[in-house]
Amino acid sequence: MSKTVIIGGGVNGASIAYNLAKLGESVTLIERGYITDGATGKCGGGIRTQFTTEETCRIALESSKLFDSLAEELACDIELRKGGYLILAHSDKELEEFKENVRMQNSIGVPSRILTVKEIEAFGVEPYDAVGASFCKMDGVANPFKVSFGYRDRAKELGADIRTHEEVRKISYNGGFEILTDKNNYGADFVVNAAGYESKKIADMLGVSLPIEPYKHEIFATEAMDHFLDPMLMSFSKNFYISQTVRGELVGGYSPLEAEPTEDLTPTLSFAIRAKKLFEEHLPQIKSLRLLRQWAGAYDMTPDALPILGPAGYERFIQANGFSGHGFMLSPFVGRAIASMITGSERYRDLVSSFSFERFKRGVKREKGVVG
Amino acid sequence: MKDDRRIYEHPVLKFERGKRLSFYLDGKPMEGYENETIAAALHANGIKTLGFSPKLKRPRGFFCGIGKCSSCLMRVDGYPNERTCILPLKEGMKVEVQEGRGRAEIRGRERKGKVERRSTDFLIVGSGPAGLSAAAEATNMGFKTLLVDENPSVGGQLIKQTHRFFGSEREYAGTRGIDIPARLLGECAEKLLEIEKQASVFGFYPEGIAIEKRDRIELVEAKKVIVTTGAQENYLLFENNDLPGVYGAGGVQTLMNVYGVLPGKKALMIGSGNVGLIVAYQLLQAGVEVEALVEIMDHIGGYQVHAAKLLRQGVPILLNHTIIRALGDECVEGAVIKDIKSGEEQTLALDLICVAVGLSPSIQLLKQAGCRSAYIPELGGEVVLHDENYKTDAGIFVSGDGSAIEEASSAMIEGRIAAISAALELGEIEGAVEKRRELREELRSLRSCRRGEKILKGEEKLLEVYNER
Repeated sequence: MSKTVIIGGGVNGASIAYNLAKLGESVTLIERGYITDGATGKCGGGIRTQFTTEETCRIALESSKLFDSLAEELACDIELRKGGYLILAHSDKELEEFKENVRMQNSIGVPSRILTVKEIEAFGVEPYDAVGASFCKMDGVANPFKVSFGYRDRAKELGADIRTHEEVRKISYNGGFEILTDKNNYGADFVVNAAGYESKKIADMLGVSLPIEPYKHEIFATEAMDHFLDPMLMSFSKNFYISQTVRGELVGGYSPLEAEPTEDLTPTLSFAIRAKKLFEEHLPQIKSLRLLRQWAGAYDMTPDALPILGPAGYERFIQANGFSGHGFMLSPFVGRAIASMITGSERYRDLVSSFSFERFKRGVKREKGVVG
Repeated sequence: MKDDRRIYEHPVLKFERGKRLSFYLDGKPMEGYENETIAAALHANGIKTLGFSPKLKRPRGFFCGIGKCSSCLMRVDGYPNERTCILPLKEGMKVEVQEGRGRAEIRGRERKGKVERRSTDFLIVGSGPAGLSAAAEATNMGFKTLLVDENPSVGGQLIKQTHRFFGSEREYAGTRGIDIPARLLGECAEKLLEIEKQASVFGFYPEGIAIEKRDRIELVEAKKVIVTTGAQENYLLFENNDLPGVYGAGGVQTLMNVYGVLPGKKALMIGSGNVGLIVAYQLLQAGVEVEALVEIMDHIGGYQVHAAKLLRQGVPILLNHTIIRALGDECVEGAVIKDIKSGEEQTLALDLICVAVGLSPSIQLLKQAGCRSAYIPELGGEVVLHDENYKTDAGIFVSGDGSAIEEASSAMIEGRIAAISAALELGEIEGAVEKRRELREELRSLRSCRRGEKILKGEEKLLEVYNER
């Protein structure tokens, strides 16, 4: 029996497993498919600190710093490239909002700044209808698979029990947790719910209702080219992001703003065609590139598009879900914060307090920059 | 072009090369013919190195010859990553050796903005023996059929088979492979058949089936789909196996039998299956010396009749032998082979290493469509599951090497069975059930030999997994 059972083998489950094992804790991770099988393996790999709410900026900043030394810590290449995030403003009103965001971001140590149209061009990006942008050099991309596998491998070495292709069927509480899977039965003091949008189903097993809904997001990858695009290019109002990986592919996602929740993750041709057109406006090079692959994943959206970190319903039923599209970029921080919470440390208490499950009772305001 | 590496005299083939064209390689003028692909024309001009790998800058050359392996990528008229083995040569083309991944430039590939839609009764993907036979059945049953192939010519791998076929008369026994595509096309009801060459079916989407042509995308709505995407060549691990001059057996056939270009002067053949034996003999017919054929097993894998032809020509077939290293810097200059029993090594001076170590079904498109697959070694590896009518659980039909590695004769029968089965789902057709029964009988008799037993065992396994769910 492990003290903690983590449900979900995405990057956050793996990061939590690693961080617990590093603290000498006994931990079992249960994943229905393989590690990265869910949203992690489908995400765009972006890492950013430019959020519109201060509390998110703070944890994103912590996370971004942890990414800088992660390759060394996990002893593997994570294909990290920090070329910054360039977020386009398409109207004066949007640019004014960005200026406010930048002021807030600067006040807590995020080195973001406003770019003029000329400065956007200097990044090799066609401004098209953009009137300005905000940019932060701390932002970038990494490979979600390599990060997750790194966490998994180091966690295993430190004694974590990683179970894949095993599905949780039932959880009950009677002073301690009992977790029934299709293969085994586990007892645990703590259960961490890191099952992406299916965290809702996991919580339902304990009679806890999480306000999480799945939203389909599609992505494509082009053929690999020589490096030409430094920053991750992004737009809140057009709802897209695109970056070039270390491997040379351009990985881009776009989602219609008016989408409805769904579990249907079938890729569509109309996405590929619309997204390519949108990207061509700012990166004309895309016109001559072939799309090699496309796929879709699900964002686990909460009402305020912010994660749920901490207990829900039971003191020791810990949530690490509702990331609303930002799970990968927050995972180094989340691993540390949740492990610290379980071991009774106060270190990250203030930082995560804004992300409690309780906040939904008080009513919430939505984070504006959701995509990427 | 007297000093070129083209074949001008051949015991079986006559090459119709078309108009002479000029093109440029890295700015240097060269000549080729309009019926050649870029890679074939370059090879005829003695150019084997087509690019360099992105990381280690290793030379890259031709390998599969049918657009499946991506080894021949070059920059053509400014566009990087073009598959030069299937891209036809055009007057004035600017071809460049590609170092690394290629530059993305600000220039548009000319595409029509709108996605065009079309509909058909049958969509058949791949125009090899299975696809053409399916098209013949479908059109003769009165169905409008769209036949799509990404290669410049119809016929799949038949267009390079200079040997006469075995098997039953209906599958053209006694006919040379190269003559079969025209015969099968002749069988089709011409008015109902539409053929799209140089077009790739790249996805089954909720919006329809997407086809990429060089200038546009089309969405097809089809009542029935038969996928006959054939196979791709297996690779073999040995030192320097990526040197230009190490070519797949099918690729070698493409060069010498389709385009009449010599793949090399002195060759080593690896593998004694039917492909290895037949292609080694075809090399001799084209005027290439075959130094040896090595086979790691202790017996010949293919038909004795093919092996006997080689032995009569004095080609040594070395059993219990394998290749351990290719020699050369920029391209193949030799090979080191080894007797796995005695451990003795031998160095051969040659410029062509031909790999004939089996095929794997090309199931990528079917996997994208959501078909289940399983690893069944008897059928060539990872294969898509289907029922006895060649229907997958995604509702798409499959046949030929794309469903299991066998041979052209069985592919032709399977294509017909698949087409009839698909048609029967659209309504009753006089005599169709009876014809399908006869075809099944034919397939059984074709498989009533040692090699057939393996396939039958594989099929049995496949049906078992298929019915498991």
